[in-house]
Amino acid sequence: MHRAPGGPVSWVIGKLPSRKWSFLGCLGPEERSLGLWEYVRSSAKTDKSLLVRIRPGSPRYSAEFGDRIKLRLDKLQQIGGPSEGIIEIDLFATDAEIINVVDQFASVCGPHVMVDFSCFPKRFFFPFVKRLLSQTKIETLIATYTVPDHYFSGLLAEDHQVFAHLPLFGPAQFPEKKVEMVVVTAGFMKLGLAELLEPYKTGVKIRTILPFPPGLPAYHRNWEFIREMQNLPGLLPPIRIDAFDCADAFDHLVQLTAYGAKNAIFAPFGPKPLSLAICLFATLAKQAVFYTQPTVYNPDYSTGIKKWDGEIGAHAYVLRINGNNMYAIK
Amino acid sequence: MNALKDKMQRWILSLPHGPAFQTVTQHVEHLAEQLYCHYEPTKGASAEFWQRFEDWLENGTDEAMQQTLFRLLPSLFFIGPSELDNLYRVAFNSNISSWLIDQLSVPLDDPNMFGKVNESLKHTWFCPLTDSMRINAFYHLNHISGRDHRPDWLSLALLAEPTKLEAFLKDYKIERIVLLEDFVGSGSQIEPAVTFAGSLSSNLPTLIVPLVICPTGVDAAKVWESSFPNIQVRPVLKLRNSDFLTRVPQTDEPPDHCDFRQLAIDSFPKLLGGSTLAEAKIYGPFGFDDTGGLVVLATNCPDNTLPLVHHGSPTWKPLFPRASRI
Amino acid sequence: MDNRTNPFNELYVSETVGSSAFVQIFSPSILRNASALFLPGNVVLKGMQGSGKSMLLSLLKPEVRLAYAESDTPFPVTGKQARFIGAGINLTRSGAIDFGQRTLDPERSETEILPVYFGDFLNYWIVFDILSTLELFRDGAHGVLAKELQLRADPERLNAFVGTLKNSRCWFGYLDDVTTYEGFRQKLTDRINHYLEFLNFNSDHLPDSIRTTKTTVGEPIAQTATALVSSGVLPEDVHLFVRIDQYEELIRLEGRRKEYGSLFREVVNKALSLRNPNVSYRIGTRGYAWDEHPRVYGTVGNLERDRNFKLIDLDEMLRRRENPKTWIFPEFAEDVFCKRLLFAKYQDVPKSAAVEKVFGLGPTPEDRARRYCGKASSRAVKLEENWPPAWGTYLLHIAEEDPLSARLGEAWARQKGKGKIVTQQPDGVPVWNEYKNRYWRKERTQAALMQIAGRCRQRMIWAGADDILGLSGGNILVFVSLCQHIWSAWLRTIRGVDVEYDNSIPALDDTVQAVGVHEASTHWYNKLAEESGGTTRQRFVMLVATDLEKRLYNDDALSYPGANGFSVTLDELESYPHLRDFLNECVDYGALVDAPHTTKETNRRPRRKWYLNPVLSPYFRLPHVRTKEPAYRPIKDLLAWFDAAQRLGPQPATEPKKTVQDQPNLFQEESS
Repeated sequence: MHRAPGGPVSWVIGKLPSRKWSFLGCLGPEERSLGLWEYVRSSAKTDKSLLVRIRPGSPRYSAEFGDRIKLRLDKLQQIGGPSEGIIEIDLFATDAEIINVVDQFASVCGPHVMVDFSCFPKRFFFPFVKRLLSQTKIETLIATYTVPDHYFSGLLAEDHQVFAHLPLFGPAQFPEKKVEMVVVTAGFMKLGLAELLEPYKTGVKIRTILPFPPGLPAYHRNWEFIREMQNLPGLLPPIRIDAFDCADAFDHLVQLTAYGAKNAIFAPFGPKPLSLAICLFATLAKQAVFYTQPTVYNPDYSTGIKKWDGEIGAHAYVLRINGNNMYAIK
Repeated sequence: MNALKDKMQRWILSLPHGPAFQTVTQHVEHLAEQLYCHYEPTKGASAEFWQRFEDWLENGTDEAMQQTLFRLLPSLFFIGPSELDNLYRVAFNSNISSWLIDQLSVPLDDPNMFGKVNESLKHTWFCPLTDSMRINAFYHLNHISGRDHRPDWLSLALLAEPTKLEAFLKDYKIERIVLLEDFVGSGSQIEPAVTFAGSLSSNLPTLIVPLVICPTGVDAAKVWESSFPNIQVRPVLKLRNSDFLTRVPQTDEPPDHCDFRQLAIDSFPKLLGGSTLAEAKIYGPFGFDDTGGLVVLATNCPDNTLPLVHHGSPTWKPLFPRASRI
Repeated sequence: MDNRTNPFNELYVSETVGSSAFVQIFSPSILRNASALFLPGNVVLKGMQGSGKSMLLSLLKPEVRLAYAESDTPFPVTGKQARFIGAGINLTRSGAIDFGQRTLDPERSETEILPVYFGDFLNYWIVFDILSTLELFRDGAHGVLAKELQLRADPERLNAFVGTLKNSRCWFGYLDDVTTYEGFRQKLTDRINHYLEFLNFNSDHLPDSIRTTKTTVGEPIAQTATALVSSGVLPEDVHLFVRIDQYEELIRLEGRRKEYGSLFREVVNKALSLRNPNVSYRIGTRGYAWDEHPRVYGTVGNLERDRNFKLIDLDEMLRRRENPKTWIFPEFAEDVFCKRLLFAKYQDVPKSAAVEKVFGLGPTPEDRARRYCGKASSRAVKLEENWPPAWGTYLLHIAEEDPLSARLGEAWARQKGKGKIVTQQPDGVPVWNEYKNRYWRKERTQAALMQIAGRCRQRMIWAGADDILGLSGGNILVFVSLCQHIWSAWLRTIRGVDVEYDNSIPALDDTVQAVGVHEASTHWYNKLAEESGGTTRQRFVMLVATDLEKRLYNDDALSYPGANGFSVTLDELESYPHLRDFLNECVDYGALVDAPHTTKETNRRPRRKWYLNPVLSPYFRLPHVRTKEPAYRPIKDLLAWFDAAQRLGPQPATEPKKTVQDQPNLFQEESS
C-alpha cells in the first residue's frame, strides 16, 4: 500500500500534530462554507487566514444570496473572523484577479496551509491548489472538503457558459499532442458535455468515472448521467471510484494515461474530491482541463453539514508533508 | 410483439403517467444492460433478465398491480460486481488503512509511515465473517499476500476450539484481525462470530468491516463496540432509512413508498401460494426482520429485501431469485 | 435471437473527422446548395446544430480529405471545387480567447493592445496549421493527395518558400534569423509557446522579440499563401480555405472580457476584409450570432455581404416552404437514412422512398381519433348542458364511427353564426364534412386531434414519413435522433423473440413510432438545458408551451386552431432589445423557430411569429403542424414569460430548509 494520505479532517489533523494552520476558504451562501473554519478556530490551531467571497455572476436570486450571506456573516461574528479579512471577487474575474487572491494569501501564510475547497467553484480552487503547490515555503498542504447533509434535489446550477479551460489549465504545449482520451467524472448535470466532446468523437476513448460509494440517491443520478452518454462512440464501461477518494482517482488517472504519456482531456462534472484528483494530475502532467462554468448557482445548493460520530463530516487530503509532495506521477 | 410489451407501450402512450413510464423504461433498459445482466444466481441455465422481468410483471393480478411492480424497479438499489469490487478496495484503502495507522500510532508525517503500515499487514489476519464474503477477491484486488488460511468466523465460532485458535494466532504472530462481511442487515446472522471474536482471551484488536450495512446493523455495531472493547466496526456503505420500504411509514420517505407498501402487502398471499411462511422459508412481506430492503447485490439478494423481488413459488416468479442458504 | 442493431445509435458519426464511417455515411445531397463553400471568396455558413453546418465544414479539414483519400469512396467535392487546402483555428481550444485574462502591458490600455496580440496569435497559429496541412498531404495516403493537387513540398522547394516569405515586411523582422523550413516551423512554435506560457502564468512577461514584432491580422496568412504559390509549392489554382471555429462564442464571454469579445470579432472581420486572391475564410455560426453589419477592427467600416463575404443560410435552405415541392430536406434525409441502413448491413434497402417504406404513411386523422378514444368514443365530445338532447345523441352516434367528425361537429356548433345546427341536425353529410368546408376542416384537424387525445387521456400519436420529416424541422440531427429513438423502441419489442436471423428493413408499427417520437422529444427538451445559457431558454419554452397548450386545449370552438405559435409586432419587440436578443438565441439554439408574419390586422404593422421547434411538440402535447394564424400576443405576455423564466427555477426558500433528497415522485398527478 502506498497512497497519498487522507481521511476525516479530525483524524488527519490529529495525525499531523504540532502545527498551526493557515486557512484559505470560501464565504458562501451554504452552511458548510464556514464548517471547516469553525472547526479550525475551535481547535485553536490557526495561523493566518483569509476568506474569499465570490460575487454571483448573475443578478438572479440576489435577494436569496444576500439573505444567506447575512446568515453566514452573523455566524462568522460568533466564530471569529479571518486574520486577513474577506476578499470579494467576481465569479467571472479574470485569471489574473484570481491568481492575485491566492498569491496574496501565499505571501502571508505560514508553513502549514489548509485550503477548504468545499464551496469554491472549480475556476477558483483549481488555480488556488496549483499555485499553492508551487510555493516551496509551504511545508504542509492539505485540501479539505465538507460534506453537506443534503443537496438540493433539483437544479444545482444553471445557464452555463461555453466550455473553456480552467484558469492555469489551458493548453500548455504547442503543437498539442493528439488527444487520446477524454475522462469524464459523472455528476448530476452534464451542462455542456456534448459541446465539450464535439471534436473528440472519433479515435478517442471516453472513460467515465462513476462515483461509488456513495449509494442512493447519487448512485441513480450518476447512472442517469452515464445513460445519456451511452451512444457516444468510443465510450468504455465506467470505472467505479469512491466519490471521496482523491488518491484512488489520481492513481487511476496515472494508469489511464500511461503515466501522463497519453494526452487526455478532462471533464470534471462529478464530486469535488475527484475534481481535486484531476487538478493534481493535470498540474503534474501539464494537461488541459475544460469545464462549462455555470452562470447561476442555486443559493440552496446544499443544506447542513454532515456529522460523523459527533465530529464535522469533512475529508482532508494531504497534498504535501514536510515539503514532500504526496501526489506524483511515477 | 407479445401482450405485455404491447401493454407497456400503451402505458407509455397514456396520460397522465405516460411520461413517467417512459422514464422508468429507459432507466430499466440501461441498468439491465449495465448491471442487472450480471446477477450471479441467474448465470447458467436460467431465464435472462428480460424474460424474468416479463414473468415478474405478469405476477400482477391486474394492470394496476403490474404498473406498480414496474414503478418499483427504479427504487431497487442494485450493487453490481464492479461496485462490489470497489467496495473491497474502499474497505482496504480507507477503512482498514486508517485503522492500521491508528493501531500503529503513526503520525502522517512519519517518513516511513507506509513502510510501517505495509509491514503491519504481515501480522494482520483478514478473514470473512461468513462464506458469502468473497475474501479471495478482497485479497487479490488489494494485492495482499502472506496468509494461507482464511476461514469464515461464523464457522469458526461453531466448530473451532478457542484454545487451538489462540495458539494459531500466537504461532503466526498475528497482532490484529480484520473481519469483513459483504452485507449486514440487523447483524443477527453474524452476531455469534462477533461474540466469538470479542471473547477470545488474546483480546487482539479486531476491526469489523461490513461492506454494506443497514441502519439496524449500525445499531447492533454500537452494542458490539461497547460490549467488546477490542472490537471496532467501520462500515463502508451505510444504507439510509429512506432506502427501505418499512411496514410502518417513515417521515421523509419517498412518496411512491405508500403504493409500494400496499403492493408488498397485497401481493403476499399470491406470493405464498398457499404455503406457510415456514414452508416458503420467508419472513413476511417485508423480508427478514421486517427490514423492507430494496437492495440487490450482484452475488445474491439478501433475505432482508422484499420477497416479492426474490422469492419464487408456483404462483410467483421472482425478478432476482435468491439463492437461499438453507 | 434477433441480433439487429440500431443504425442510428451514433448520432454524430456524420460529423466526425477522419473516420471511415464519416466517409460512408456522409450525404453529399446538401452540397449542391452550398457550392459557394468550395469556391474562392469568404463564406459565412449559418445554421444551428444539426443543420449540416459542421458536416460541410468538416470537408474542408485536411484529416477528412485524407480519410477519403485512404478509402474507396471518392471525395464528394470534385473538379475545380476540390482544388483547395484547408487550415484553421478553434478560438476556444487554442487559447486565443484567453487574451484579456491577464494584463499584457500595464502602461497601455488593454482595449488598445489586446486586439493586436489576439490577431498576432491567430496569424502564427494559422500559418503553422497551413504547414501542417501541407505535410499531412505530402506524407499521408502514399502521397495521393499531393499528387492530385500537384503539391510540391520537397525540402528544397520548402526552403525556397521560406526564403521568399521571411523577407516580407509583415513579420517585422521576426524571421530574420530563419534560414530553413525547419527553422521556420520552430520559430512559429516558439512564438505560440511563449504566448501559452504567459497566458498560463508560467512566465511573467512576453519576450521583447514578440512585443516588438506583432503582426497585422491576416497579413502573414496572405503572404504565406502567396509565397507558397510563387515558390511552386502550391499550384496557382489551389486555394487556401481558413476556418475560424467558435467565432460565435466570442459574444458569450462574461465579466470584464465581455467587451473584448466584440473586439476579437472585429479583428477576425478585419482578416475577412483583406480579400486576398489565394486565401478565403470560412466561418460557421448560428443564425443570429452573425452580426448583420460586422465591424472591422481599426476602421469605421463594416464587412459587406456579397462584397466581403457570401452568406449561406442552411436553416433557411432546409426549412419547409409553402410549396412542399421546393423543400430539399426530404431528399437529404432520405439519403442519410439509406446510407445509415446500408452501413448497418440492413438488406433490401430500396433506392428511393426508404423512409416511407419503413415509417409508412401513418394513420389517417380519423384513425388517430379512433385510437385515442378506444372503446369510449363518447369522450371525444363535450356536450353543453343547454344543447338539445337530440343534438347530443346525434354527435355521440357519429363519434361511434368517426370521433374526429363528431369533435368537429361540436366545434361547428360553438362557432359564431353556426349555432343553429343544434336544432337542425343534418340528414346526410354533416355540413362540416361538406366539400365547400374542406379548408375549415383541414385547418382544425390537428387541434381537434390534440383535444380528443387530451380528453381521452392519451398522448398524441406521431407516425408515418410525413410526421417524422415534419418533426425534424429541416434539421438532419433531429431526424437521425428521431430514427434512433424509434428504432430503439422497435428493438425493444423484438427483444428476446426467437427468430431466424433476418436483416431486412422493418416496416415499423405506428405505436412503436409514437413511443420513439415521445422519447426523442423528451431527449430534445432535456437537451435544451445542456447548451450554453440553456436553462433559462428551457424554462421559457416550458412557460410558452404550457400557455399555448392550455389555450389551444380549451378552445372548444376551435376558433384559433393555429395558436400553437405566437406573434408580436416588430416595433414592440425592438423596444425590448434584451427580449429580442433572447428570442433570437432561442431560435439559434433550437428551442423555437421563427418567420416573418404577414399580419391580418388592419394596422399592417410588421410582425414576426415563433413556434416551438417541431421536435418539442410531442413533449408539450402540441400539434407541430402550422395552420392558419398564430396567436397574436401583446409584448407584455412575452415579457412576463421572459421575466418568469429568469426567476423560476429551484424556488429557493428565504430560509434554508432540508429538502427531500430523493428524486421527486415521477408519478404525482399533474395539476390540470
